[in-house]
Amino acid sequence: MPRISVWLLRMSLFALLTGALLGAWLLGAEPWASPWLPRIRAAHVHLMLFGWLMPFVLGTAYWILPRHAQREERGSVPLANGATWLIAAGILLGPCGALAGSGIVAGGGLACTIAGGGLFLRLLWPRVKAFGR
Amino acid sequence: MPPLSRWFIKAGFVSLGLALVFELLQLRPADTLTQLPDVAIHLAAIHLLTVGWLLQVIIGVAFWMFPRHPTSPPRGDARYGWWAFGLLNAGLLLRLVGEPWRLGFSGPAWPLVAAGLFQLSGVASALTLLWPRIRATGS
Repeated sequence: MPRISVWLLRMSLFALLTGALLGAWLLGAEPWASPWLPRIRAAHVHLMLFGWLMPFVLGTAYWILPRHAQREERGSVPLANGATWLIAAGILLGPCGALAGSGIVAGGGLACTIAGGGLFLRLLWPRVKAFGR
Repeated sequence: MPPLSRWFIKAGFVSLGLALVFELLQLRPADTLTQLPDVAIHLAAIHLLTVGWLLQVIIGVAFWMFPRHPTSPPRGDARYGWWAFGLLNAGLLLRLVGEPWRLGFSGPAWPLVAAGLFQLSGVASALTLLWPRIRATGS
């Protein structure tokens, strides 16, 4: 497993645990109204979709999809590193912005997630191919 | 494929089927099952898809395919996985019963609190199993 996948998968498991913690809190608090609930719910959704599911799938795909035969086998490593940092920033900023009620910080987190995900799509697209090509 | 993976993946498929049933329930005629709150059915369907289906299939496949330990047991201590399986599914079932009960029939809050704690513990148990297997190997 390449180091970039290790980072993505570990980040995603950390986000899963944090998101599950917030989810358990929401489930326990669901019958009682609180002004915090919408913020916790937004952070929970961001962590589960863009913190857990997306990096896990991208990290596994980066590891396991067919490799290039001639060029760098998994594509540009600096590009993958940059995309990983953007996704990490998104995992941090998105939920923090949601909890703080800051649309700018949450939006910045989402922008980082979109940019990181887009770069990974660019890396992974040519690797979705028949073996031996 | 090890037995733990098979159980996780099959439970995932059952959850997917149940999620589709819950989605269908939302399309029921307005005068049918009027006490069932739509919000509880919607939340149940979403969590059957995300926790019941996606999370369980991912854990099952990861336990099967992630790099193995050079020492025995090669896939780690499966007891953590069985605990995760039991806790996640018990938590999910408690939620499926507890949320409509609470929101539609003024039921108690304890099934929801227990559901949250069970699912959180299940996730922690799955992480204990999988975390050491996420490591750099080969190229």
